[in-house]
Amino acid sequence: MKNKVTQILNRLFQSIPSIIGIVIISFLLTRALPGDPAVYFAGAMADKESIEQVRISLGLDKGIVEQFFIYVQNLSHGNLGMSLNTGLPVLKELTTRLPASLELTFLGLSFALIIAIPLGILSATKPGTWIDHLTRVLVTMGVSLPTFFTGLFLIYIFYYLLGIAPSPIGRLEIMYLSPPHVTGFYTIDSLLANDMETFWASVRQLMLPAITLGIFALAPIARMTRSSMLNALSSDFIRTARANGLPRSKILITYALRNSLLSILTTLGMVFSFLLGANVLVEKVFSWPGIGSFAIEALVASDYAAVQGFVLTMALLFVVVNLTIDIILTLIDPRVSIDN
Amino acid sequence: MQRRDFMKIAGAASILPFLRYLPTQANAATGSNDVLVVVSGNNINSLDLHRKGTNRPSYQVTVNIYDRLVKFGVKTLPDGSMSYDSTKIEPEVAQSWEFSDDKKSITFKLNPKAKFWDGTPVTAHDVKWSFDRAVTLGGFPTVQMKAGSMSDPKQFVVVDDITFRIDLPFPSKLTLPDLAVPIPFIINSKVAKANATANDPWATEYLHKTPAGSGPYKILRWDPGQQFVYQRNEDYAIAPKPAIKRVIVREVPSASTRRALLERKDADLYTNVPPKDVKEFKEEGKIKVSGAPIDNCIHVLGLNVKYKPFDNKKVRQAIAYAIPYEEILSSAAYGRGKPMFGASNKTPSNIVWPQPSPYNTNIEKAKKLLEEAGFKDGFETTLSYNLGLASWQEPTALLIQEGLKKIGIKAKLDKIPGANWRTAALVEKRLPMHLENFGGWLNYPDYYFFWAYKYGHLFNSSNYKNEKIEKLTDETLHMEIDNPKYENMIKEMIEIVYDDVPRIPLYQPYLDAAMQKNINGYVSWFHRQLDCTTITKS
Repeated sequence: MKNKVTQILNRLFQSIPSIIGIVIISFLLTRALPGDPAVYFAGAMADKESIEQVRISLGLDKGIVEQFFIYVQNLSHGNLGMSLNTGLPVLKELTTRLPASLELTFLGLSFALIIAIPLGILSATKPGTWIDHLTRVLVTMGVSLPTFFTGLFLIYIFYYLLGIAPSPIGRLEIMYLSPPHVTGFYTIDSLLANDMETFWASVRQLMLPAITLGIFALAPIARMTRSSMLNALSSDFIRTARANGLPRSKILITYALRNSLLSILTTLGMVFSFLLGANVLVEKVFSWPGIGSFAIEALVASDYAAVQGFVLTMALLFVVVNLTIDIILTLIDPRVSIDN
Repeated sequence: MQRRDFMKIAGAASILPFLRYLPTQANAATGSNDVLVVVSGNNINSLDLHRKGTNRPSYQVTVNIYDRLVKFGVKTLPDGSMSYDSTKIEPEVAQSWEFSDDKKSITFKLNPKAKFWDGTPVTAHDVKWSFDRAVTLGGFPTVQMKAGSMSDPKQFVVVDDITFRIDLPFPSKLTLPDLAVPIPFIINSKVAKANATANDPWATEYLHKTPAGSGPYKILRWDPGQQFVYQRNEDYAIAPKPAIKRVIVREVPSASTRRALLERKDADLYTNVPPKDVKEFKEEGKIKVSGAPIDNCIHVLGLNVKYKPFDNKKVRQAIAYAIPYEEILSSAAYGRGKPMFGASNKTPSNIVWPQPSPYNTNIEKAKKLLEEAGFKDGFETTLSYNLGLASWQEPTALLIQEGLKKIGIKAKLDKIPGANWRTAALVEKRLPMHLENFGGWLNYPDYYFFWAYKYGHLFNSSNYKNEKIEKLTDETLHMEIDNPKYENMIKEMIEIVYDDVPRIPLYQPYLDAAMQKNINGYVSWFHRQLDCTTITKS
């Protein structure tokens, strides 16, 4: 156990250089964006003089090295700057928008898991049968349909034609107020406030976008489940278990699935980070006030502070997700050693 | 509105889940008659138009929540749509105004009934403070004030509490209309000053999120990136109170989602509708469309005279004859535009602006002109357009490319991302051939010429320079339109630039809104934003 603690600490320590790298790269990348924010934000009729005034007020007249040190100094105070595009501090934007994106991503991921893991197991136990083919078709559809298409398609069927789904205008319909802010997840916050009506309203709003994301995330999880299950099922310890006459369900769940979980978990980490990126289009279609739509608008406007804040958050999230997965793997699998 | 009142309203709203009285199956069209649900594709970034970086969609907030001294009137167009009337100036906070004999100063008498939301009267001190702020803060507000010859706080004089005077360096027809645009709005200076700091003497941080005005609406909520809500000012006394009590503007980024919301009757009004949707709404007949051509605005193809061979007038004219105007109007603008081509005469018969150019599609003539210019076999060039405006510029660029091919000109298309466009096209003016559109807020031909044809000015992306135009523009810019010389000078200007064609007019675009059939009173404005005050719902 002591060995595992040092391993985990070691792993934590290893993420520090990546964070420093992220800070430098996010700064340089935004400076490499096309467009001049001073011109963009000086407004419709700005002349040379007013463009210059904006440049000075944004601190863009200073040298790039000086700008970098100002940026790092602000960062150390937790100040990510102002987003010109939305007129609010970037930190505030991120703290209100990140939960929206995470809530959607988690639900989408859960939806994908609930469908993909049983599908993967079934097709692994019956390779070559109709269920295996069905899985293959679903998986191919999931990866090949662009998310915005799936989203628009679902809106068209369930909202426009059938009228079952609520209007796709963000996290809550017009007549609801957001629940008091605790976690930023509307479902959790409304439960904490004991407001069932708002809870159901936010769940209803989440359904279509989460399914859209879920369909997209289904493929890698189902495939990974299938192949690692096949791998496990053909291994010696399963043969031994079968020979010993253990019940089928026990062999499948306790032995085969548990052994496959490691690779499924690794895939899950990747899919999660991937989904946060794929969110962008889904958020646009469903007017979801998430981090993706924020980033896109910021990019279009060369809004430096906002883009930096976004890249930084996403990269940190990525580091944290990978770190968590690694730590979980270390804890559950005696064979995993981070050092190699 | 006082802070305490605001807290009360906000408090009440949070106990009662917002607007509970709307039916749960939100059906805006059959819902309450005093709540209007608007969907818009843009997000606003400030409640203060004077602040640096405030974007165009935010202008609508200023229009609805603040008052100005004067405003433009409204007229009904032949098709029943309503539009602002640039020729009529009406009182708003100013009850009356008077020009001095030399026309170099205007004295305004304020309406004693004009009250800020906190109940205090609107005084000349507030007007002066607000105008001082507009000319001092820099950026767009300062530039726009300059168009009306206002640039120095010394020009704004408080005569007494309800008398305010503007002194001008010279008489100008642009000053009064420039007071009716969104920029010179009147702020409650006592509230603003109380929230100003040493670093921020004009209270930009405070007014950014907490407006202090006297207008017909107040802001009830602003959830950035999601929605903002107007609440009617029940004490509004200087004009009839608006019919709609509460306006909810939802920001919906996807155009197809906006359309679905309107068709499902979950929204009442959809602003800034793309021409394709307008065409389909009109054909289906279930949704009402109201719109007007945008005054003083033309979509043009710019030819940069700094680059060869566009320095040659014959080349420019050849291109003007090679453009497939009709196809652009029907398939890029879906018929939603006023033709700006095919005038029968080379000399303009009137001073209507914009007016059609004497060019039409005539490939033979184009070839002949190109040959005369010495480019019998054509040449290669690039045609740039703005990705941010791809919905009209992309199809237009493709059609122009086709047309130019017929006379041997190979144009490579060059898409420029929105953030880079202003720098490339307007500031550095380095695009040889490009699509451009400019619309002036003050509806005079000379005002358009000032921005788009004078050398070095922002929207003259063609680097066009003509001594005659420079002189005529300067002379006409401030001249009264009833001056006998005015008409001839304007006609001459139009004739010159249509002969030189550094900017080839394509069409005048429309500004359209789509709405449920029970919505009336939508007015199309030069600032292209929604004015809720005239809207009714039955």
